[in-house]
Amino acid sequence: MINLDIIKKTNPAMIAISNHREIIQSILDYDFLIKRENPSIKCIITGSKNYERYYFGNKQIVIPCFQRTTQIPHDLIKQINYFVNLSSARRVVKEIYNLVGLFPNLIGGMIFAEGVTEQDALNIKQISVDKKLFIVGPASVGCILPGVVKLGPIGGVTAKQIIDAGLTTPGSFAVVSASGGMTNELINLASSYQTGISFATSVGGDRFPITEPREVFLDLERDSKTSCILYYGELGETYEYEIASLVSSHKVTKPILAYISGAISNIFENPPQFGHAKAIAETKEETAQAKRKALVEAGVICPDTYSEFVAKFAEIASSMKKVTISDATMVRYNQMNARKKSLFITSLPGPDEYSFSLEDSYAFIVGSMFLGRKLKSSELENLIDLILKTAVDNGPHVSGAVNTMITARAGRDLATSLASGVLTIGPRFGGATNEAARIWFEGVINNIDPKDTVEKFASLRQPILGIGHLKYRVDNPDPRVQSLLEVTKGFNKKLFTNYALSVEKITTGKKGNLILNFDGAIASVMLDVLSEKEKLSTGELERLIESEFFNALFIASRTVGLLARALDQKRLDEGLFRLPEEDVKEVDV
Amino acid sequence: MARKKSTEYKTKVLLYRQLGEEYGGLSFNTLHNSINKLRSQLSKNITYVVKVDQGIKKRLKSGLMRVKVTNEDVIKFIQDKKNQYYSFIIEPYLDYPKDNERYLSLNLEENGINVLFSLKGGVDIEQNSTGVIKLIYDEKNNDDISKKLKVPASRLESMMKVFKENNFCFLECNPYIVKDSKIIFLDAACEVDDTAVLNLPSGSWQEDDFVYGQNILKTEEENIVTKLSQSSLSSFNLSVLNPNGSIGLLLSGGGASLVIADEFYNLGMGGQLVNYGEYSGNPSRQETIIYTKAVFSLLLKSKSSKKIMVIGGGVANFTDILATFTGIIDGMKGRIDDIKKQKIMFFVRRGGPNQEAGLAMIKSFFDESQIPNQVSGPQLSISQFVENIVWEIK
Repeated sequence: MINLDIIKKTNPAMIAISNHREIIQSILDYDFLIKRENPSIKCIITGSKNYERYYFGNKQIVIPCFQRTTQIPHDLIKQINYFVNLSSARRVVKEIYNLVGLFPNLIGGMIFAEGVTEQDALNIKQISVDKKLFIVGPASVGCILPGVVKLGPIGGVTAKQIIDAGLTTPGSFAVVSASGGMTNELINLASSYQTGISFATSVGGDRFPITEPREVFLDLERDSKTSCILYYGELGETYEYEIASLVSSHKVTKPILAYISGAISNIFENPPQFGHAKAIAETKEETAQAKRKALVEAGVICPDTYSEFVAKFAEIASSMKKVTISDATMVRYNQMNARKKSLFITSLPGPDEYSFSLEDSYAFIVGSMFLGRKLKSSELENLIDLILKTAVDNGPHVSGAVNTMITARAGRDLATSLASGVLTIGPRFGGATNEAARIWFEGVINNIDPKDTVEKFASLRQPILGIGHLKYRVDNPDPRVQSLLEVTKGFNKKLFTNYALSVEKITTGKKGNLILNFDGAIASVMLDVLSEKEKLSTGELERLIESEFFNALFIASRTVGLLARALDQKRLDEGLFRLPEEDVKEVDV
Repeated sequence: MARKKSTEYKTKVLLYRQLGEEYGGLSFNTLHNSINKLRSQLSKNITYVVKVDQGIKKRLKSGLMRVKVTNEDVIKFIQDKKNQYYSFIIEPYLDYPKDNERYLSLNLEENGINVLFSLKGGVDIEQNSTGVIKLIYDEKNNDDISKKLKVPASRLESMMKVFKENNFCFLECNPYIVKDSKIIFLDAACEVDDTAVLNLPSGSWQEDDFVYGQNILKTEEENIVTKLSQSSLSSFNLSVLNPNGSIGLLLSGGGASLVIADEFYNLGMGGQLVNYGEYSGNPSRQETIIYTKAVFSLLLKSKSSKKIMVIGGGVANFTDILATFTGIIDGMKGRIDDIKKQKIMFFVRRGGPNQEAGLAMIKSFFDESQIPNQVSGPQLSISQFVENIVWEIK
């Protein structure tokens, strides 16, 4: 149900379904023009990007994007109160079901798509009744309450259109229309007389609009700003008779100026389907003429031609208060012209805004830099400290160290020696942490039985990254793993570590050295700390895995170890290394 | 985009399939089927009912059906009608007592599926509406309703399943009879929701099953636009009014296009319109080119001596005027010589995103091509715009 009082009191926080650039930007422009401090679009459901760049005024901003609503972090879920559904007709219903189930503070939204099936529209209507939501559409350009909210492309998608139509300041006329284009035509008609708009919406031209004209009229009757209602209707369906009955029963007493189009249908021997889905008169009462007659009889001003409608409007508008756009709004509007798109964007602080203090630990700084925000928990700081300390070196025999030592002995510089060692880090050496995190994550999130995970890798004849060690065995455990596992002691759930340990239990049953290794333990413990202590949502965890976050700490720490190996070789300066003949043997394959 | 009538044949195929009963009917489309093949499918040992199958009501009274005729009469009926009609349904004739005829209609409305029925059906139902009962269908009251209808409960359930799964919006069976607990549909009319086309069970209706009433066959231009609309996220619509009219309409917006067409009608110029039509939903440049070509093709074919092309619309919310006008200009480019030869004059009125650049571009295109034109923005009201055009014609 529509309720303008609630809309007026609500500070809009919207989720946009589908990244429709012009429409989303126009909502942000509107926010800026009416001096809202923050953009009202909070996130976008769209393809594969993590963020989309937009402007707020002339400042570049990024809006978080998610592929699925389930990835949205908890605090954002609580904020959202409107949806702007710009997706195609086929996705609309599914998305609506997702949305209403997920957002506890949702009050309403708009559906842009044309071609939503009648059955789907009726289903959504039922949801809107059950959940007391205000939903305009399908096939709607949304609604606008000047000075408060612009929900959809209504009123235009450029700042110039918004300014030209005077939509930043509330006026006296409300617009209700079956057509998106005619909504804007009437808004512009009102602005050409400087009378302004108190509220405007397009209910959409489908057969079953979710918010019906009747409901909007009743609400506008209560709205103190609205002095007169402009209505545009068409042939097809019978919603106008409900308006007529509201007027004749004095439930709506404000003056209504209406135009009902579709008289042209008469000259067709066999009337076609006009532009909108409902625009066809199958019975006499659905014709434009019959509806006009009913409205006029009820007391609505409803001329036969559009030119009379415009003339009548001019007459009414002449007695209305004029509204103007304030100078402050024009200043903001002019600011928006100074937009320039940068080549890169970054969420990390610049050199002048270095925000760490000398009291912060190195682990705190490294973790905060990698996460892109300051750490919240001492557990994560301690874990990072542990990883940085324990991963710094693992002897001279491992791939990275060998490469660095050979390069240093070849007389190359320090950076080159380091680089050649770092380049060995990957799925087989040091870089298994991220893949192990992926295995634990998917196992827990998709509720996969650890047996099935083990079986899957066995049938693919692939090792489970994070499991297995050359030296340590179940009866001779890796001390570093033991100290890592200490971290999660006392955690509530430790879902990921428990999962990793269940996998280990199965694999060590097969072979003694198939234990949870250092990489696998970092992965599981880190997942638990991030989820339980840093309160990251599953969507955020998924993104960290996608960005290879779990390998970053190893690389950072081992860089120190590799530098040490290079410096060590320089110090000893043995000269160029060459493998002894017997260390490379030719074999037949 | 909306509700479309489906053929009686397809409707019955879907109903009988769900009911698990055999259907002995045939369809014949003059565009796709050969009359010799039909001849071979008919038997001389039984009699038939043959009807024009184009969503037309009262066929018996208008001579669009014949009952209890031989196979040769069926062929003759089709050959007689094939210049005016293209779609036919042929069924074996069934003898039954006339007072067994019943009436049933289902209509999807805001409050659910509305059921209208009468145990006394037949062609005169509109006169004998006293026995018609109205109720709203609900799966929970299926059994009660089936008792009232005197139809086995499982049959009614199957019919409702056909209705829902195939996105029917309207189904009228008048008359139907129940014989040995089987339902026999003697007539069936149906409207489907064409927006569901990509989400239907296999074997359901397709766009080929749509019929448009009366004896019209769509023009090539209308068919192009129908195809365009089906394959696009934007919306396109084109209907021919007077093929030899003097005013072509290249309009945008479902609402504004109606307002403009109405104003011509209100000023007594409705008969001069070549077409009604509209594009909306920010179509791509390529789509706009295709649509423009179709509208121009209609106007150029008109035999009228005075011709005007109206490029109009309201103030768009999100349709980019510069982009769509670029498409319109590209669509006209191949026909400039014809446009000049036929002395077509242009009237443009449009607003929306990038309107200044779009209007300036189309103005200079006309001026450079030496085509007479009047180009305005939204400061000119829709009604004044139409009045200017009418004044020009008179």
